[in-house]
Parts: sequence; C-alpha cells; structure tokens
Amino acid sequence: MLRIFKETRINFIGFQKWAIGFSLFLTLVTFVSIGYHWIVFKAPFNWSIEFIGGTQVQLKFEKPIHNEIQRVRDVMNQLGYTGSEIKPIGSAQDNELLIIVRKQGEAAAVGQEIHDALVKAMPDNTFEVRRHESIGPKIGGEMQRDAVWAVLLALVGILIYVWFRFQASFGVAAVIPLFHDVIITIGFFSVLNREFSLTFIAALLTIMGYSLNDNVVIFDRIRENMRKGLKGKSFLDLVNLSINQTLSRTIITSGITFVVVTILWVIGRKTTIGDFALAMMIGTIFGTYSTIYIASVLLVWWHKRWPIIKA
Amino acid sequence: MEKKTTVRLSVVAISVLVLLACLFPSFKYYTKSVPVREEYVKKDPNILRHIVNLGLDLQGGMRLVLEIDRTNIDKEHDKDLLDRAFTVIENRINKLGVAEPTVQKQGNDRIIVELPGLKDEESAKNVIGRTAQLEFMLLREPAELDHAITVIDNAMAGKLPKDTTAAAAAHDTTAQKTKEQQTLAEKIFKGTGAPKESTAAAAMAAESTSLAAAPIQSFKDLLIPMGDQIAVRMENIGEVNSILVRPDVREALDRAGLGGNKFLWSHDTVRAEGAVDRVLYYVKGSPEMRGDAISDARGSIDQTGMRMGGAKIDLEMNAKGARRFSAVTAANVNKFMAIVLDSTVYSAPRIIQKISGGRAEITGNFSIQEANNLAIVLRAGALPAPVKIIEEQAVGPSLGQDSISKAAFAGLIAVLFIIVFALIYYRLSGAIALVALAINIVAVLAIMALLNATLTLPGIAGLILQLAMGIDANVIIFERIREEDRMGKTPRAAIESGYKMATWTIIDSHFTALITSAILYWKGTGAIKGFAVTLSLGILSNLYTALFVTRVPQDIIVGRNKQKLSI
Repeated sequence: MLRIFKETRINFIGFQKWAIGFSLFLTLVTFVSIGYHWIVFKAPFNWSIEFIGGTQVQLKFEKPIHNEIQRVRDVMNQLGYTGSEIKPIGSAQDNELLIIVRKQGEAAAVGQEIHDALVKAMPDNTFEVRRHESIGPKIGGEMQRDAVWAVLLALVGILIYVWFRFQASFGVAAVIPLFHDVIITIGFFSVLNREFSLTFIAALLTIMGYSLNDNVVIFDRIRENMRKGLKGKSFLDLVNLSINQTLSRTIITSGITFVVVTILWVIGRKTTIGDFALAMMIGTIFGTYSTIYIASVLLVWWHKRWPIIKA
Repeated sequence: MEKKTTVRLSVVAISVLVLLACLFPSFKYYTKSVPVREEYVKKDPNILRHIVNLGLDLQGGMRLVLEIDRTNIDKEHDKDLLDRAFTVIENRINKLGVAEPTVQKQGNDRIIVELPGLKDEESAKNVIGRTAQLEFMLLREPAELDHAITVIDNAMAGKLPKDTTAAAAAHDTTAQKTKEQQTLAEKIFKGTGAPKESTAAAAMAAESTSLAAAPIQSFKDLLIPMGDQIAVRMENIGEVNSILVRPDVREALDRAGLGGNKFLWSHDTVRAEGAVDRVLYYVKGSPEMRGDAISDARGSIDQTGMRMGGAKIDLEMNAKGARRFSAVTAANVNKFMAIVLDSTVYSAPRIIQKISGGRAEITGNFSIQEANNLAIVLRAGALPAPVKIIEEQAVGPSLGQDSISKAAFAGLIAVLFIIVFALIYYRLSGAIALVALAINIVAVLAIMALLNATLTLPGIAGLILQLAMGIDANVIIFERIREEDRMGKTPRAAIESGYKMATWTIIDSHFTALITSAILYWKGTGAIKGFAVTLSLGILSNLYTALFVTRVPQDIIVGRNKQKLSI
C-alpha cells in the first residue's frame, strides 16, 4: 500500500499566530489594492462589460497585428471611443485582438460600427469576427445586484445547513473561512488587474463550495473524535489529531483539484474560462489553508471560551 | 456472491444500461458530419429533444435580449403586451430557418432569443426587431401641402395663423390665402421659382413679416420640387426634422386645421443634380388600412415595367381587407396612396382605378433578401410595441469549434492524470474508483440528454472539475478503509466500516457544495447556468457512484480473496 503520509503528529494549530498574521496581511493587501483601483480608475473593481455595459469584439486577423494595434486605436479614436481597450489575446500566431468599449449608453450598434470602420480603414489585413457582445447598462446594473445577492444567499444557506447538521459554533467556523477565501481571491485578481466577469463570480461561488466541502470533512472528523470523548486531551489536541488523521485525504484531494484546474488554465487561458481556472487555482490552495488555519482555529478559540456541551 | 451484492450488482448494471440508452441519440447525432445531421433532423425532428444541446459558445450563434418600449402605450393595451409581442417574435423566428431557436419571456418586459448556428446576423436582427407597422395612407393634395409650407414659414417668422376653426371670420382670409397659395403653388410645381426666391413669399400679403430677417433658412428654402412631390437634400434632413417638431410649428399647423396630417420620409433616396435626396411626403394622418388587412406577403422579382429585375413584395389581403381596399380605391381615383412601413414611405403610386382583387405591391430600392425579410415580418404581423435590443452576444462557429477542441484536450489530460494517480496510489481500488467516475460522467450527460439540457464551455469545465471533486468521495472512503485496516480489522470488516463512517461525511460535503451550485443555477444566465447544471448533476450522481456503485466490485473482490485488500 503506497502511503504518502505515515502517522503524522504535526501541531498545525501551533502555527496559528503566523497563519493569522499571514491572512491579515493578505486581507490588508486586498483592501489596499481595491482602494487604489477606486482612486486611480474610479471604480473598485475592473468590471467586465457584463456589469457596466459596453461592447466587446474579438477579431482574428489574417496577418500579424503587433504593429497594427496603433492603426486600430486610431480608428477607435476617430469613432469617438477614446477610452477603449485594445489588447491581443491568445498566442502570438493567433493574431487575435480583443477590443472593449465600456459604458457606451444604449447604442447596441457599436459592434457593427467598429466592424465597418475597421474594414474600411484596414483593407490590407482582413479579419474575422470570432465573437462579439453588446450589453446595455441597465442589464449591467442588474447583474451586479444579482451577483451580490447570490453570494449572500449562498453564505446564509450554508450557515443554516451546517448549524443544523453540527452546532452553532461549527456553523460560524465553517462560514467565516469562506469570506476569507473570497476576499483573498478578489485580492489576487485586483492586484493582477484582471477583469471581474460573470465567470469570475461563478468561480467565487464554486470556491466557496469547495472550501466548505473541505471544512465539513474536517469538522465531521472532529465531531467523531469528540464523541469518543476527550480522554484527558485538550480540545486543541483533539483538533490537531483530527487534522492529522485526515491529512492524506486533504493533500490528495487538494492536489488533484489543483492540478486539474491548472490544466484547465494552461489550455483554456485565452478562452472565456481562463479567468475561472485562475480563480480556482487560487481558491483551491486557500480553501485548504483556510480549513486548517481559519475554520479549525476558530473552533479552538470558540471552545476555549465556551466548552462544548455536546457533540 | 452474497445476495445483497447480487441485488446491488443488478441495480448498477440496469442503471448503467438505462443511462447508455439515454445517451444513444446524442452519440448518433454528434458523431456524424453536419449534412448527415440535417438529414436526421428532417427525418425525425424530435431527435433534437433527446440529445444534449450544445450551447451557443460551442456551436456558434446569437443571443438577444429584447425589451419592450412602453413609452407610447396607453394603459388599456398594457396588460398582455408581452404575450402578444412574444407570439409575434416567435412567429418571425420560426420563419428564419434556424434549426433550434429558443424564445423565452423574462419578467414583464423582456424576451430572450437564442439562435444557434445562425449565419446571417443582420437579417435576423432586422427581422426580429422591426415594429413592422404597415399602413396605407392617402397623400394630400399639392394645395394643402403648400398651405402647410406657408404656415410653417410664418410660424418660424413668429406669425401664427388665425384660428381657422372660427368659420365666418376666416372666410375671406381663406379666400385670399387660397388665391395667393395658388400663385405660389404654380410657381413651385412649374419649377419656375427657384427655392431661394423669396419674392413670391414677400408678395404674400401683409401677413408675412420679412423672411429675410429670419436667422435660419425658411422651411420652404430647404425643399426642392420634384415632379409632384418635394424632396430634401440629405444634409438638410436633420434641419427639416428639427423644424417639424418645433412646438410653435405644430401649434400653427393645428390652428390652420392641418394638425391631422403628417410629414413622412421616403425609404429610398433619389439622385438629382448630383446630390442625394429623400422625398418628403404629406399624408393624411390616419391610415386608410393597416397591416391586419394582410393575409400573405411574398418577396419576388419584378418582371415588368420600369423596375424590371428589382425586388418587390406582393401583398394579398384577407376578405375584409380586400373589401375595404376596394372602397378606398374607388373613392380616391387619381389620388396617391402611400404604402408606409414603420412610418417610412416605401412607395406612393397613383390610384388609377378601383382595385377589387385585394392585391397590392410594395416596390422600392431593396434587394430580394431584404424583400424576403420584410415579407416574413409582414406575414408574422406587427409588434404591438417597439422593442429594443438591450443585450446581444454572438459567437462565430470557428470559435465554437476551437472551444470544443480545447475543452476536449484539457479534459483528456486531466483524465489521464487522474487515471495514472488512481492506479498507482490505490491500485485495484483505484481502478474501481475510475470506473465509478466514468459512470458519473455518463450519468451527468445522460440526464442532460433526458432533460434536453444545454452543455456550454463552462459546463465542460464543470464536468472536468467534477472529476476532481468526484474522486474526493472515493478518497475519503478509501482512506477510511485503510485506517480501519490499520486498526486490525479484517478486509471485509474494514470495507464495511469504512463505507459506513464515510457515508455521512460524504453526504454532508456534497449537500453543502450543492447549495452553492443550486444558487449558481438559479441566478446564473446562459453559459453560467450550463456550468451549474453539470456541477449539480455531477454532485448528485457522485453520491450514487461513490457510495453505491463502488461497493459492488469491492464486495465481489473481497468475497473471493478473503485475505488481501488491494487499496
């Protein structure tokens, strides 16, 4: 039988001070980054057009485009879209450009306008429209509201379920790490200046589900050990023991999930799921980390003040 | 084999067969090339309901969200507006020739349209978005048009006409006006007066104040005589429009008794003297007939007359419409009837004689493609209110193809990785877990086929992710079994115990993950919904495969080989 981890006796909770410090640091970085964005870019997040309205066009050119970007920009400026974003996507030989015009009001004909202008201005380099999207600002506002609602509802639903299946302290200790994971993932995306799109929100919800999954497995073991009785151990020891017992499973599952989403990212980087995969990569690592250093630590703290009445 | 195990084995075997059967139509459909698929659909259109649907991001196509513009609707027509608009749009879309269009209502004001595999975006948007209000309107006589022009000019100069509803007092003024108008009219329609000549206007009694003092050109100056009608240069159209909407101008026209008439632009442009113009028609405001008189409309090529080779639309009216048309034409011989679509005049032919056959033509400067599109729109009926496109997404088929290949490739690598790991780390039990995972994926796809659900690119990502999360359940069980084994239990007991202890953990963790994916399904749109579907189905089917299906081979193997655990 192949075993990566023999009986381990690592005092995980012992590192709590370092861990809390690390988490607080990352949280601080996140808020600083958001604040910076707010000041410099007038918006806390780099919202995609799905949230603030706009038009997005992905074009595949026949000939190489690195020198052409300026020409495209001239055309866009002429049309009046001076703030538009023009960036190459995919690998160099794909010759693909993504043009994003944000917040242009109700005009859904922007895509056609851009298309026609480019055809006229660059007859020597034909292109194909791979995809395009046009979203009015009203829908964008609704999406924002829906996204926030979705996240809040998820948290409440989870809290209720875990409270019901375990006990109050477990419920709270299961939910707070989810906040942590979501905030840190947002932080990474903010620092990397990546777009906050619908797929990113979907990734956040998935990360919440995954992180919670992790927490529940550990809590289940903790509860089982509690039923066997403390036998002279402190609650902290019991929690440590539970973590050690499930360490194999934790490492294997996180490992596999991380490798899988990395594969998704490497191959799907330039597709619409690229951001999703990247967010999941961050989420799987921190989901595991938060299970030990936020969820379990919170349990230990709680029960230091209020000893467990029942298991 | 124990009886319990036999029962379990049968259940698993039957379930797998049922699942494969559900997937068979999809397999048959997707492994064929596109022309063969179209054959299948022709022979049995229902097949499209039994397969897994591919999302727009995988097969290309367009998605539109339309919103009804209620600004000009009065309250009584408000209630079933969405339903009526929905029916009209559904009709139009069905005529577009797209394989599997979907049309859905959303909320009070919105309609969502999905057109997979759509090739001609422009046509589709035109067909879907047109209000398509067809009206037959009588043109006003030149004298009346001229009166209107005068009134407008006066209004612009600050002079409102006397209220003509007061009968007697206006009588002689009218007589004098008519005489002057006739002089002016002759001048305009004989083309003797170049538009800029203001002497005729200045001669119009003491009523007009000097036009030369007006800072902007007079209304008349912007008009160009063109046979029986007047035209306007393209660059002046904006100014003409701004004059026509001025409140003082409108009030003046109302007072002059001309408030019931409308100015409408032509659809076609004309070339004259090296410039491009549009014709400005003056019509009676209330239409003689509307689009509900039409029973059929067909696009065709004009075979006769001046427009040989051009496209036209043949209109056929229903019984009531034909009767009305006959009456209208009989009463208005030698007058002109404008055929108006969405407040734009397509043509204004002279009524030569009474038309009793209930047939008419719309001619104009459009291609056969446009004619066909317009015909579709006329057949399906007018929208009860205009619609706006508030969201539009389109994916080209090449990108769709690329996405599929990328997704398949990523899936393949991920699967290989998991296979290698499972076999090395868990050996035979690992192989069992892999079989369970395979059944898991089959189950998800089969249920999707059953529900005719849509697989999107994020949906495929969800499936791949599900592989990782799916194996988690097996890992929990196996690690538990190893623990029990280490505590000294027999293989039989270890397996029994392992499954028992792990069951609630797995149920808890799956249900909590299900909460987030259910919310994603509820609040998500389009592609995200596809992700939530595969993830949720995967979680549910994983409960079955990890807890039930894997039991069977484990029990069988241990039953035979009582000593060793291959885990």
